[in-house]
This record gives sequence, C-alpha cells and structure tokens, in this order.
Amino acid sequence: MTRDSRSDEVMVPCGRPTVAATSIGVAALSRLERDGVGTIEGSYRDALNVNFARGMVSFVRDHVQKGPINVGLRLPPDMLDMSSLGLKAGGEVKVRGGSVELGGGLEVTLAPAELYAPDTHFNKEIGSEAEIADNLDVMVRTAIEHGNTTGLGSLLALILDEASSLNSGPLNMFALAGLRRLARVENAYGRGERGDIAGAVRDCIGLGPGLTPSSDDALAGMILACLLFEANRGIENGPARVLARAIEEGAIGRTTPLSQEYLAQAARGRGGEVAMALCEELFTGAPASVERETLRMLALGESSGTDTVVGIAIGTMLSIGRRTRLDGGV
Amino acid sequence: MKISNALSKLPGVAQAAVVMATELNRRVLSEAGFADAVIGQASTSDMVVAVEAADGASLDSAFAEMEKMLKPSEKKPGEASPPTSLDEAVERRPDSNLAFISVPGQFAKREAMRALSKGMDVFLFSSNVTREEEVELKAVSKEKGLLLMGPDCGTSIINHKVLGFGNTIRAGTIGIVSASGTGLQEVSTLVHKAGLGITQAIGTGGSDLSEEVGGITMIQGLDLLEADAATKVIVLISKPPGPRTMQKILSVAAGSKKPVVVNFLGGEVTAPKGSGLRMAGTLEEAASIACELAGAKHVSAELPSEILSQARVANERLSVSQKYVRGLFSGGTLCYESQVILRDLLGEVYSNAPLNPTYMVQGEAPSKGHCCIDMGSEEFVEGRPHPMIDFSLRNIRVLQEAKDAETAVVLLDVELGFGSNDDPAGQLSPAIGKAMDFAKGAGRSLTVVASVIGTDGDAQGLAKQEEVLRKAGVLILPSNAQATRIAALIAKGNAVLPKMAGVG
Repeated sequence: MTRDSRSDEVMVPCGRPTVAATSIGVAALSRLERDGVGTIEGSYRDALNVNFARGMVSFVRDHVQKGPINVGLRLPPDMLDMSSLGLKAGGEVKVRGGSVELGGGLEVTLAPAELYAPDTHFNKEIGSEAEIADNLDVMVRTAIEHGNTTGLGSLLALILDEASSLNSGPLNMFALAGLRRLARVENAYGRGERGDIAGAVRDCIGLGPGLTPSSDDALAGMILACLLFEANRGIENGPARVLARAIEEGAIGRTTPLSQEYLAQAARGRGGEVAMALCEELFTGAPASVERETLRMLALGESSGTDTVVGIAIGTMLSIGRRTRLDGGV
Repeated sequence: MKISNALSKLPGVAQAAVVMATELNRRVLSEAGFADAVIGQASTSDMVVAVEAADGASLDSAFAEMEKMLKPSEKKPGEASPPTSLDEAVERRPDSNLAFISVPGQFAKREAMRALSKGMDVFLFSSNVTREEEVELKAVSKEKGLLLMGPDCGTSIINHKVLGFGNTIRAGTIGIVSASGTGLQEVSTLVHKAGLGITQAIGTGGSDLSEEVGGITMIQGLDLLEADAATKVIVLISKPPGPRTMQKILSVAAGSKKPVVVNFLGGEVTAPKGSGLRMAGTLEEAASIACELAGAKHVSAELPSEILSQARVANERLSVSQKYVRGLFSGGTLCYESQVILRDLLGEVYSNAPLNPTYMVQGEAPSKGHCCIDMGSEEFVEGRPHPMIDFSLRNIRVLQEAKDAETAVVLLDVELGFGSNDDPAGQLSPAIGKAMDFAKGAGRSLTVVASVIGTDGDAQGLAKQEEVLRKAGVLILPSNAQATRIAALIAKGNAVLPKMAGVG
C-alpha cells in the first residue's frame, strides 16, 4: 500500500496478481470497451459470468472454448479454479483503462487477447444436399453412440428421415416434453408463418437440465445451422431470419440469463468455436472431419454438446428441405 | 447434470432432476408430480433439485450426496493447480521443449501442430492418426528442425529419460533409432545386459518408414546421432520399409562416418557395396554387432547348453498330437521377429499380423498350426489396457493353448520397465501353473518358454522376475530370438538344428 503525498487518499494495493486475457469474443470486446462496473451473475468452477450495461461477459479458463461473450484467461498456479477468486453473485467487477478487476482477487488485462469473431462465411464451398445429408448421418450416428442422453439426446434417433434401426434410448421427462415442442417448431418453420414460429419457439424455451437448458442448446444449434446454411448459399431474407428473431425475443425472461445471452448470439450467427467448426465441416467437409468435430462438440458440458447437436441436426434437415420424424414420434 | 446422474443411481431413488427453475421446467416438474410452492416461487436463476425416492432415508441420502457434490474443491496449501492447456503449461515453464501427447487419434494432429508451432519437439503416443496427417505433421517438423517421434510411438529414451514404455538403461555410446517400440526395448536391454549402454533411443512411430512418410524421423534421428559426440555406434531398427524409403535410409546411413547397424526385420536387405553398413537379421544380432563395434568383447548368442538339453528332453516327452509352437506376444515386433525365425526353422506361421497374408487368423480365434498372436493389436486393446499392463487376456489364452492337444510349447515375451505391470511374472505364473497342470492331467507335457525384456534397474527387477517364472517351470532365455529358437527345437526336435543359429 502506498500513500499519495498530494492527498490523504489511499492508493490501490499493488499486490493483486495480473494476468493477460488470452482471447476475447467480439461481443465481450464491445461490452468491455469503456470503463464501467458490472455485477456478478454467477461464479462457477471454470467461469465467472458478469452483467455489464451492454450485456453479459463470461470470464473463462482458457481451456474452455472461445465464444462471442467469452474472455479466456489463465489463472495463477496458486488458484485451483475460478471459484478460488472467492467472488459471489451480486459482487462488483470494475473495468478500468483496458483492465478488468475481478473483485479483490485478480486483474485481467485485455490488450494482448486474440479476438474471436466468428465468420458466417465458410472457407470452402458448401456441399450438395446429398453430401450434407451424408455428413448429417455421420453426425447423428456419432452423437447417438457417444452422446449424453440426460437432456434431449434421446431424440436423435428421430432426426433422420429414413426409418432405421437407430436407437438413442428411452425418452426422459424432458425429452418427452421437448419432442412435441421441437416438432411444433419444425412444422411452423416449414409453413413459414411468423406468428406460428414465434409461438412455437416461446413454448420451447427453458426446458431441461443445465445452466443452459437443453431445449435452448437445441434451439441455438438449430438457428446456427439455418443461418450458416443461408449465408453460404447466398439466401437473403430466408426463413432463418424469422426463426432467429423469434428465438432472440422469445428467450427474454423465459430462461437463465446465460442461456438468453447464448441464444441472442446464436441468433446473430455467432456460436462458440466448436459449434462453428462442426457446422462448417457438416456443410463443407468430409465424413471423418464431421465425426471428429462432433466428438469435440459432445465433450462440451454434460449434455449441452449433445443437445446442441440435436438442434444442428434439425436445423440442417430444415435447410436441405427434409423432415425429421419428430412429429411421428409425438 | 452430473449431480442428477449420480442421484438417479442411488438406491431407493426413482428419479432425480437438477434443473434451472425456468417457467417451462417448473411446469414439467409439476406434471411429473413435483408440484411444490417453493418451486413455484423460484426464479430462472435458481437451481431446483427434485428427487423422487422410495422413503425418507433414501431421500436424505440423496440430499447428503448432493451436498457433497456441490462442495467446492479444495486445494492443498502450497499445491499448484495443474495447467489445463499446453499454452498454460508452457507459460509456467517457458523452458519446456518437449510435448508428450496422448489424446485420441482424431485430435492428435491438432495438438501436435500446436506443440510444433511453439518450437517443441513432440513425442506422439497417439495411434489412429491418418497417414496424410502424419505426412503433414512431419513436413512441418522437418521444416522447423524439430523431432516428431510418432505417431503411434510407444517408446523413446531421451537423455536417459524414458518416454512411454521403456527400461532403465545405463549410459553408453550406442545410439538407436527405431520404428518399433519393443524392438527398441529388446535391443537396448540386450546392450545393457552386455555391460554397455546407450546415448539416445529415438522412436519414430510405426509408419515412419512407409513410402508416404519416407522415413523423415528416422533420417532426422540418424543426423542427430551423427552429430552427437557421445554416440559412437548407431543402430537402426524397423520392420521392412517400403523399397524407395529403404534405399533412401540406406543411402543416408551409408554416408555416416560412424558405424551403422541396420536391422530391417525379416527384410531381404543387402548393404550397398562398400557402404560399411552392418546388416543384422534379428534384434539380438543387431545388439550383438553394435556391442562389438562399441568395443565389447564378442557377445555370444550361443544357446546355453543346459537349456538345449532341457529343450531336447521336452521334445522327447511330447505326445504324438503335440506339434506346434504357440506364441502369445505383447510386443508386435517381437511377434514379427519370432515369425521370421520360425518360418525359417519350421515353415509357415499363422498370425493375426502374419508375414504372409495367406496365413492370417483373427486374434481371438483358436490358434492354428504354428501360431504367433500379437496381443497388443487393436482387436485386443480397444477399450482395454495394453497387455504389458493387463495380463488377463493373455492368461486366458495360455490356458486355452494348454487345452489344445496340438500345442507343444507356449512362447511368451515379458516386458519390464516404465509403463509395464508392476509384477508381470507374478501375474503370469499362476496361469502358467494351471496350464501345465491341465496338460499334465491330460497326459501331455507342456513347456513354456519366455524371454524377459528388462534390466535390474527396472522397478520390477530382472533377476527377481526371471526367478519367479523359473519357479513356475518356465524356460527363460536372454532374448526373444533365442527363446524362439528353443521353442522350435522343442516342437520339432533335432531336425531344426542344422538351420539354427546359436548352436555350437
């Protein structure tokens, strides 16, 4: 501690460890550009979620995937995880001069961070419907074999249009509830009626386990797939825009703040790096790379990854003009 | 989610759900019978734990378990938390220059590229990396002047530190570059047993000498050992390379100013004229030649006379039906070497990794004729520990061979050292005892022959392991090549002697 000779004001303790952010999402960057104060929404093992004036920022350990609202950082060796910061919901986080003071524990400098700004345009040309369908088959089968069915994963066997011997297990109470709701979203999308889509989406938000409920993960996956397909096919003002708006608006007040944030980003075509990579391989890549990226996706969270794959699968079916068997499963 | 999974599995719990209290979740819980005023008052930021249990005690257990799982992890004072990424690890130890990578094959290229981009050499233990990815990785490593040991590299000894599986070998003047893990182990332990030692033992990964990869890592290894002042003799080990790659390797090796011993197991290889290269037919011969070049007195590969006598006696005791050698290997290269030797002495050999594709058998199928099974192959190790660590499958197979009336002798390799089971002999001997007893009960005499690949510097202790196996009635030979020859002698008798090396 030092005392400023010009005043009696005690200066800030100079012993706070400082770490450099390793990555910063494009939305997080815009929210941290100006000095201000945020309020901690939740503190978890690998993440600290903070609400700022312009939206939420998630401070995450750098092994967590890059995302539009994420700031990746490496903790000092003497801290086991983010909860070691001792911060609680309701606490304050200050942004000052390009640095973020995480309570009394840690200061994060933002300047060195690599920017994560996902591009909706793929590096390669999008494949034909038949190629995409083949990749979709690989993705769904991989998810059935390796995914987690505590959320909506047991709906995977109903995604592909051809009847098959695929079996992703019995439906739990959330999958049962999600089945007709997702079928309703699919049907509404097919009819293209704005009101129907909005109503179907509202009825689907906030269902299932997880800090980001399963149905939200599925909707995020769905809208990402639809938007990325349209962006790369050069389709302007397609039905994906209607779905995106319905999701962004429908999420408000109906789900957790974090999930609401993720849905808003997905509705802008901005997913985490793993979801973006999976969609890119699904639409432009070879089956082996689809399998690889699906496995990466499935490793996210507990059922979040699998639930997102459910949504990407439905969105892909919608985009290539096919129908799932969700309706028949009701 | 982890919590709901764990709670659902508890005795007396019919169902458990751990969800955020969104409007829809509250409705679903209510429909499932969890209507509760408290849930009704919860907000979307609140977590609800709903448990349906058979009785109060089960419910109390469930909530006690939940409390335990929700408790934050505690770090011991002074203990640093482990880094969670390569970047974090390098940040903490900026002098790090080697990355040891063992991830599922689909993700190995990405991690290896990351390490190479940081200027690190790589030991890539991962298998199931495609040939194209290996070519891409080695193009990068070569351009950067970095060593990529792998993929599918099980063994290296760098600056006397074992990477992967491997043995404690004294320091010396012999350098090894090997596309075979157990081949490296066999040669290095034989060098040690001869009283000499090694400088470096560089693994290249099993497909480095394929035509597509072209021996990039083997050539880099050769160059490194050439430049290393401590290395006086170089040994190269591989199964037969592709023809173009072989010519390239031999040409580079021929340009070495140091003596080079080449063992391309079973390959019809002639040293280029005037090259000075020394060609070895077996791993044992490679070690022997290397030791002589490094200044050892003549290293004898003669079969011990006492063992020869025991083998002849064992042959005489065979019943009419007992005709065949049955090799059960944890090391793929040793399986291969044994097939090469047995083919010369006994004729064609069946295997799940055969020299001649006509003699292919599935690994799990019953043995046929003379048979050598690589129990470290994919069909055995998918989802299971390697047979160097877990002996259960091999023990079952030993007994199966004993029950087969055509089995004359069982041939085994036993690896000691880092990564191997703490007590291989202790794991094997009960099964061997049962097998021999079974054969005896059926009126047959069964011999088990083994070589133990290890040194007394290994934690398991070579002498102790050999002693345990001898007590179980196993004939122990100092090398896989010798063990194989003895097995042939037991099965076929004196008819093999004219063709057999090591018989005085």
